[in-house]
Amino acid sequence: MKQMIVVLIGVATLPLLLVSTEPSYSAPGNPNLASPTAPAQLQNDMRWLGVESCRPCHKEGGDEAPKKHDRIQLTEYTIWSTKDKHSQAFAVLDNDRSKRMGEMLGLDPKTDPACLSCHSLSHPTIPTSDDAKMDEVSCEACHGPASGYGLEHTVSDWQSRGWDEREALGMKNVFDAVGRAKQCASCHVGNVAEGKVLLHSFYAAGHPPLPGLEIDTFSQAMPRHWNPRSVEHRGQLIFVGALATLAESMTFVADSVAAGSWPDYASFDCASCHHDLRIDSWRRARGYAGGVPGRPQPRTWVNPIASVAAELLGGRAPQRLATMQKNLREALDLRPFGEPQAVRTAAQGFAEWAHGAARELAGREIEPLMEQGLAALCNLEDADRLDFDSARQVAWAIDSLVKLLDVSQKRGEIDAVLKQLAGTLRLELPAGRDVSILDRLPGNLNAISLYEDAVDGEAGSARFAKQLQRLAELLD
Amino acid sequence: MKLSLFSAALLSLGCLIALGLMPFSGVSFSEARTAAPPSTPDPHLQDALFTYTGPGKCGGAAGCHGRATALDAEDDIFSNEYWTWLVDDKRHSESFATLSNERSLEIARNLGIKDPTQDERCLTCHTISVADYQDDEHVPEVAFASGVSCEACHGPAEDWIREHHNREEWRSMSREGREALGFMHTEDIVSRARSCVGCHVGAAPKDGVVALDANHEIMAAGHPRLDYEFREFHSRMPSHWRERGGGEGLEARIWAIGQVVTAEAALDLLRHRAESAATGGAWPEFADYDCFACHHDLRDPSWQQGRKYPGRTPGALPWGDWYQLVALIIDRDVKATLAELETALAAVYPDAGEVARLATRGRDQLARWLEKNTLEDLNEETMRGWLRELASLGDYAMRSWDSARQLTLAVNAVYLGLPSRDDALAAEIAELVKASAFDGDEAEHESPYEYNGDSYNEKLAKILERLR
Repeated sequence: MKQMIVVLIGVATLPLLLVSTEPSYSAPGNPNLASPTAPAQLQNDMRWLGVESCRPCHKEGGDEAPKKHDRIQLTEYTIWSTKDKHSQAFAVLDNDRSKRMGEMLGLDPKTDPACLSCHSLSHPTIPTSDDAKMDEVSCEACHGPASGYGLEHTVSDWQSRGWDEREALGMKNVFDAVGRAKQCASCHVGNVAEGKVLLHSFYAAGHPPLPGLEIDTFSQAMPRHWNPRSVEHRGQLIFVGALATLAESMTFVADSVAAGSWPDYASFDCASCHHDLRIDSWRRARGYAGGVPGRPQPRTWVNPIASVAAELLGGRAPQRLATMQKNLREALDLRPFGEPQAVRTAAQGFAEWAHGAARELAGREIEPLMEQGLAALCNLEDADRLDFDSARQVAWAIDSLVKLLDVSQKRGEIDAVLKQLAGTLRLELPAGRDVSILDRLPGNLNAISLYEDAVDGEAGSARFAKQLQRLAELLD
Repeated sequence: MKLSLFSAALLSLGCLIALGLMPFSGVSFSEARTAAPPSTPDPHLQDALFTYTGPGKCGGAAGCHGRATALDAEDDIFSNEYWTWLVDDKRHSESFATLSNERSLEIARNLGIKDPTQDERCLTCHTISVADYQDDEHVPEVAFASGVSCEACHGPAEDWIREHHNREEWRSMSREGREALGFMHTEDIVSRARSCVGCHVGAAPKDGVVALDANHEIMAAGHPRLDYEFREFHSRMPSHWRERGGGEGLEARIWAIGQVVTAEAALDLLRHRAESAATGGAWPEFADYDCFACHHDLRDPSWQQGRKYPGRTPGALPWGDWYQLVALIIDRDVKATLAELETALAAVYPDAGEVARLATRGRDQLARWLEKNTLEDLNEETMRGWLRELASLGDYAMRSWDSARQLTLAVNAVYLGLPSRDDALAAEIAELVKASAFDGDEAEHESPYEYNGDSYNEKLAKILERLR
C-alpha cells in the first residue's frame, strides 16, 4: 500500500523534474555542500528499505532511449542492475574464490558481517525493514538508508531543501566531492564504525587487493547513472575528492587504533612489504627521507593528488600537509607499525586537517585552477619516488584533466604519452558487469612487478617521472 | 680513529706491557663472536684482551703461510693459505673493501652513517673486530683493512703466533691452554661452525662487543639477507686446509652440526632481540621471520594461497621454517620449543618476554646436545634413516621457499655423505639445489622471484620418492 502511494505521488510530481536546477558549486555557503553527518540519534530511526522501494520509479530505460529530464533520468535502477558492477557485489560471495577464502578463514562469506558489510547493505547498527532486499550493494549503499527520505524526496519542494534537511532524513550528499568521497571510501578504503574493514588475512586468503581510489575516474567508470557533470564539478571530484579520500584514510587509521585493532597489516601500503627484493632496488636508491628504514607505511597513494590540491588551496595548506605527513611518519618510526597512540593522534590530526582543507577547497571555484593543477601534477617533484598505486592516481587525474580542459595544442603527442601510461599503469578499470576483476587481476599484478623492475638501471618510477616530464613539456 | 702503522705498533706494545702487568676485564674474542653456550666461561678468556697481528704476519715475510704453491705436507698444512684466502676467497678477503662500494654507500646513507668503514655496525662483521672501536690499538690499520682475514676465524694471534711455530709443543698444549692465548680452534666442526655463525647469523652483544645484528632496519637500508646454511657455504668457501677426520658421512656431519649451531646462534640472537624490546629495540624484529613471506610481488594465481597456509592463520608472519630440520637431527624437545616460538611470534605484537624465555630454552637445548655429540661416529644407517625422514617431509617443504630450500640442501648433504650413491640421482639433486637458488651471477633479484611452490615441489617430490 505504501509503495502505491509512493508511486502515485512520484508520477504526479514528475513534471516538476523538468525544472533545471543544476547545482552550482562555486558559491561559498552553497546549500548543496555536504554538511556534517546526520545527528546520531536519528540513526536509530533509520532503516534500509532495499532496492525494491526505489525500483518502481527509477526503472526507466534499459534498451529504450532515456527520457530527457534535466535533473534525473529515472533510469538509475536499470543502469545499476544491467551495467554496474555494484549489482554483482553480493553474488561474488558465492564464487570459487570466496568459497576458498571462507574455508581458509573459517567463515561463511554469504552470512558473515565481515564480508557483508561491504558486499551488501548490511550495517552494524542500522536495521532493515521486514521485506528489504539486503543482498546487494544497491541505491541505499551510497545514497543512505531510505526510510526517512524514500517518500519525502518525491515531494515537490524537495529540490528547494538544503542538504542539512536532506541529511537529517538520511540521504547522503553524493553530489559533492566531500560527501561522495566519504561514501566511496567507506568500502573502497574502509570504515571502522560501519564494520567495513578488510583484514590482511582476507587478502592472504585471496581477496583482490583494493586499488587506489580516484573519485572522478571511478565515478566516470561506474558507469554513471546521472547526467554528465560540469567541468567545475569534475574538477572538484579530482582535487577536493583527493583531500577527502585522504581524510577518510586517516580516519580509518585513527579509528582502527581506537578500536584496538591496530595494527592490521592491511592498513599499510601493500607494496611496501610485498615486493620481490631486487638487486637494482629503487626503494634502496630512493631512501627513506630521513625516517627509519623498514617501517611499513600506511596507504601512500592518497598523497600525490592531495599535495597538489593543497597547492591549489594555497596559503599555509602545503606547509600544513607536510607537517601532518611528518607527524605521522614520526609516529610510525617509534617502533615497527608505529606507536599506536602516537599514530592515532597523528592520524586524527591529519584527518581533521584534510577534512577542513577539502571543505575549504570545495567552497572555491576549481575550474580556473584546473590548468594550474594539471601543470602541478606533471611537475611533481617526487615523481620518481612514487610507487605503482601512487603513480596510477596521478595518471588518472592527468588523463581526466587533459580531457576536461580539452587541451588542443600537441594533443596527439599528449595522447600518445597518456596511452603509454594507460598501458604501464593499467589505467582502464575493470568496470561494469561484463568485465571480471579476477580476469584482470593477474595482468594488473604483473604490471606492478614490471613497474618495480629495473630496465637498463631505471625502475618504473624513474620511467614514470620521465613520462610526466614529457607531458609537462608538451603542456607548456 | 686511524693511526699510522708505527703509532699502532707502539700502542700495541704498550698494551702488551700493560697486559702483562694488569689483567683487566675485557673480551674474549672467541666468546664474543660465538653464541654463548651455558658452560662455565673460561676466566682466562674473559679477562684478557687479545691483540691482532694482521694477515701479513701469517702470510708475509716469514713466509709460513704465504708460500706461492701448496705443499703436500704430512701434517696437512699447505703453507699457501694466505694466497688461497686472498685470491680465491674474495668474499672474505674483500669484505672490508665492499664497505666502500656503491651499494654500501647507499646503505650507509639510508642509515645516516657517514662512513661505513668507520662504523662499528658494519665493521663488526666486515673485518676482524675488537671490543671498542674508539680504541683500535688492538687492531693495526693493516689488519683492519684486510677484511675477514686469518685471525677472524683463528683468533687474534699476537699471543700465539710464535708459540704455534713449534708444532710439537703446540700440539701437546691442552685445548684450554691454546684458547687462553687467544687461539680459536677450527678443526672440529662444532667450533668451526660457531666461529662462522657470529657473522653469518648474528650474535648478541657481549662484554663490550656491539651486537652483530644485520637486522631489518639495516636490510631495508639495502643489506642483503643473511640466509645461512652452514654446509652449503662451507662447500663453496675455497678451502685452505685438508679436512682431517674426513671419510664416511663427512658432508652429512657438516650439515647436521651446521644446522644445530646455526639454530643455536639464531635463537640466541632472537633472545637478544626480544630482550631489547624493553629498552626500545625494534620489536617485532622482522629480520627474524621468513623474508619471502612478505617480500614477494603479488601474483595471481598465488601458490601461497593455493597452499591454504596449513597450520597458520592466513597472512600471519611465519617464523622458523629455516630451522625446523634440527628437530630431525636431535630430540623432539627442540621441536616443541620451535613450535611454541612459531605460535608466539605469529602475533602482530609478540610477547617479548615469552619469546626471550622460549628462545633461551631452545638455545640451551641445542647447546647441551652439542656438548655431548660430535657425530664423529655417524654411520650409513643413521644417514639412510635421515634420508627416509627427510623424504617424508613433503608437507614441510611446501610451506615456503625457506623450507623447500632447506629440505633440498639437507637431502643433498646427507646423500653426499653416503658411502655409495647413484651418481645420476646425485646429479638430479644437485640440479634441484641450483634451481632453488636465486642469487647467481646474472641474478636481478635477491628473493626467489622465479620460484613457484607448486612446480618446485613436484620436482622435489619425485626425488624424495626415490629416497624412501
